[in-house]
Amino acid sequence: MVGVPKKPLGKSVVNTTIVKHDHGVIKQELEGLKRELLIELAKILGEVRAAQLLGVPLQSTDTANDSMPMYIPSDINTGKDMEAEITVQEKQSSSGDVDEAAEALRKLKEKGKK
Amino acid sequence: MKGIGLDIGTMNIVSARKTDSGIVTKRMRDTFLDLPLDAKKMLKLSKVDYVEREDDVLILGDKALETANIFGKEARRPLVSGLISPNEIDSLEVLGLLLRHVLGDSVEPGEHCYFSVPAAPIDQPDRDVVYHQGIFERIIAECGYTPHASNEAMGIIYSETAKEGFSGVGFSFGSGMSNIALAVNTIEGLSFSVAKSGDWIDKGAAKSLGSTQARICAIKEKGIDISNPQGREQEAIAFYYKSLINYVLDQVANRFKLIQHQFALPNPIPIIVSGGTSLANGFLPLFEEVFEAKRKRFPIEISEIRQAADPMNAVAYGLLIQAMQEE
Repeated sequence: MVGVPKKPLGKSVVNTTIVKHDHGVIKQELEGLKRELLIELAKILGEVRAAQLLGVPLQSTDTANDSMPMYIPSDINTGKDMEAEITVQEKQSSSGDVDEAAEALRKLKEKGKK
Repeated sequence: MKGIGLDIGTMNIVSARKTDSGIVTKRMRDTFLDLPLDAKKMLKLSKVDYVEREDDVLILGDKALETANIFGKEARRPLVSGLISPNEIDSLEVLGLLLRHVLGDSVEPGEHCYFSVPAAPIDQPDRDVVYHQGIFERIIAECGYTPHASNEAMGIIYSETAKEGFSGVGFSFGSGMSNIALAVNTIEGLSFSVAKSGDWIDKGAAKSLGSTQARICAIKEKGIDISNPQGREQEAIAFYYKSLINYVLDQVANRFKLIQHQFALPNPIPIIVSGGTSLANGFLPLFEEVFEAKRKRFPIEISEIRQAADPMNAVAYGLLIQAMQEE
C-alpha cells in the first residue's frame, strides 16, 4: 500500500491512496481518518476486504504500475557513441496560440496559489 | 528561449521549441530497418542515409519506411503499441540516436524537457509504463536536459482548451495506442489508454486483404476519405476506422461511469480529437456520428467535438506550454 502525494497545479496536496489487488488497484483520494483506517484495516483484513468494509469502491485504474519500481539495467546502450547523418523534418509556425495558452496557464496557477 | 516539449509516439517523435521567429517543430519517424552490410553500395547509390554497425547497416526514420515498402518488408519499430518493450533492448540505441537529433542541443545545462508518456493500457494490463518512462528519462538526461514525464492526452488539454480553462476530454489517436484524458481546470480527473489505434487499423486491413502493414499505412497517409472509400483497400481501412472509434468510445463510456459520482462538472466540456490517425478525411464526422449513437451512455455533458488545430503537433505544443511554466 502506498500513499502517493499528488500535487495538482496551484492546488493543495492531496493524498492518493493506491492499493494493489489481484484485479487492478484501488485508487481513491482519501483524507484523514478514513485513509488511516483503510491503511490499518488492510494490514489485518487484506486490502480488498478493507476497502469493501469502508465502502471504498474497487476500481481498475490506469495507474496499476505507478507504485511498482522497475530495475533498468545501467549498461543499456542508448546510442551515445553512434554518429549518423539523419534528416529531421523541421516546420516553423506562429507562436500565438502557444503563447496565449502558456499565459492563461500561468494566470491559472497564480490564481490557484492565492 | 528555454524549455522544450517532446512527444514520443510509436510512429513519430516530435519536439517543439519556442524561438525568436515562432515555434519550431522537428519530426522524425520512429522506425528503422536493418539490412545486411552488402546493402551499403545500393544505399550509397540511392543516397539514403544509413548507420553502419558491426554486422549490419541501419536506415532510420522516413527512409526506413519507404525502403521497407520497396522491399515488401515491415520496418522495425523501437516502440510497440506505444511502449518500449523490455525485450527490445537492442532498439534502444536507435531510439537514443533519434531522440538526440529531434531534441538537438539544450540551450543551457539542465534545460527543462517535458516528454509524453502514455497512460498504461487498460486492455493490456501486463504492459508497463514504468520501464518506458525510466528509459526516456535516462536518454533525455544524457542529452543535457532535465526530464519531466507528462501524460500524453493531457498535452492536448494544455494546447487546445485554454479558452475552457483547461477543461475537456482529450483523445490522442496515435499509431500504437489511443490515449484519453479528462481534465477540469488542469486537474487530471481520469486518464487511460487502449492499445489500439492506427497500427491496429493497418494490421486489420492488411490481414484481411493479404497485404502488409507498411502498404496499408502508405495508402492511409497518402490521404483517404473514410466517409467515401474507393476500392477494397480503402473500404477495409474505413471499416477498421469505424471499429476503432466504436471500441474507444465504449471504453471511455465504461470508465467515465466508474467515476461519475466522484466529481461534478460545472459546465459541459469539449472533446478534442487529435493525433496522426485522426488526420484522415472524414474522421471528425465519423467520430461525431459514433459518439451521437452513444451519447446517452456518457455520464458527462459534452459541449462540442472538435479537432486539434494541428493534430500532428498538438501534444508537443501542450508539453512545450508546460515546459514554459518552468521559467
